[in-house]
Amino acid sequence: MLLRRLIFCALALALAVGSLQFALQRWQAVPLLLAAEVFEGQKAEAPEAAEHAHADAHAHEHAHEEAHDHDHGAGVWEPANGVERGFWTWVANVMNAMAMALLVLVVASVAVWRRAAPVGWRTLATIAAAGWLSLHFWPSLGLPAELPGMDAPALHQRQGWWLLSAASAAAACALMGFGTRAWRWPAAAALLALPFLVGAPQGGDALAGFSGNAREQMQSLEQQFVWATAWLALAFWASLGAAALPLFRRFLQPLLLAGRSGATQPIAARA
Amino acid sequence: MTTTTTLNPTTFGTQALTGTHLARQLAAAALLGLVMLYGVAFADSPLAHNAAHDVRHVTVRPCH
Repeated sequence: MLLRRLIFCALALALAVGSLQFALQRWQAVPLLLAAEVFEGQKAEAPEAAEHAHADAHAHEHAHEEAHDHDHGAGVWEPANGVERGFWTWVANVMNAMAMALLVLVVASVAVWRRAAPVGWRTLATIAAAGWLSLHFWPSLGLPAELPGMDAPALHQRQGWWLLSAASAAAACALMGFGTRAWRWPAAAALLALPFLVGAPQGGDALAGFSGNAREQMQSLEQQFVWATAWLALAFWASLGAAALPLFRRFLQPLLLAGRSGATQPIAARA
Repeated sequence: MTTTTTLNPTTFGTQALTGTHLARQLAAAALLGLVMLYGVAFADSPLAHNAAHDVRHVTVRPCH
């Protein structure tokens, strides 16, 4: 069955790509997160900042937990720093990679079915690039990477804009990749512009709670973090595309091509 | 649809890959992907948030 193969291929991809991503993050990004959390713990909360932090679901392993009084109360589990936190970050990375792998494999399957011909590395590279554009680059143009401790507009507004920008960019990519009419180009351009016409939610000074040396340090950390996340996203989509190609060709493409060419054998039985 | 849906009696319960079957299975896989993305990156539950906290920050999804 195609679905079962899709899930197993996505799982294999997720374990490989998610683990690689986990390792790269520990090297490139986690030290920045932990450094920012030390400042977050020391932060003297301005009234506005406190309001933000309390309005949103928010619980960190703080270096100075007593400095905060979050609305979660003490009862909510959070992973302890060290092995436990690393384990859950690995799990989340694998889940995230599996979600992306499923989407990549589905789009590649649609490409094979529509063309009734095998796809090569160019198609997979294009799909990975479209994934990066829609699910990383476009949303982060409006909502740049943030470190713990930075103030931001209300969570649901940001999530809504993230979804709008990702969906618009994905629709634009689908139109450019699968469309045939000439109007697909202006339509794709309009879709890409849409989230920016709506406008990403704007907050005030993201580092309002910091002053003096802490503020400078946070600015420097933030700059490093933006670059780190940009490289990590490129590494993620490049490794996902590269690893998806052989698996897709070996396990999924033959099934799709056989079905497309009108095989009389019950191909699903071989799955 | 050019695919013939011949059922082989020895493989009861399976069918050839027709357009409809394909569309359903691809839609199911895409839906599973979106649900997993929601769970990792968007779920409001404080438990999900705390477990996936670092990944939400690093993958630039809105976090707290």
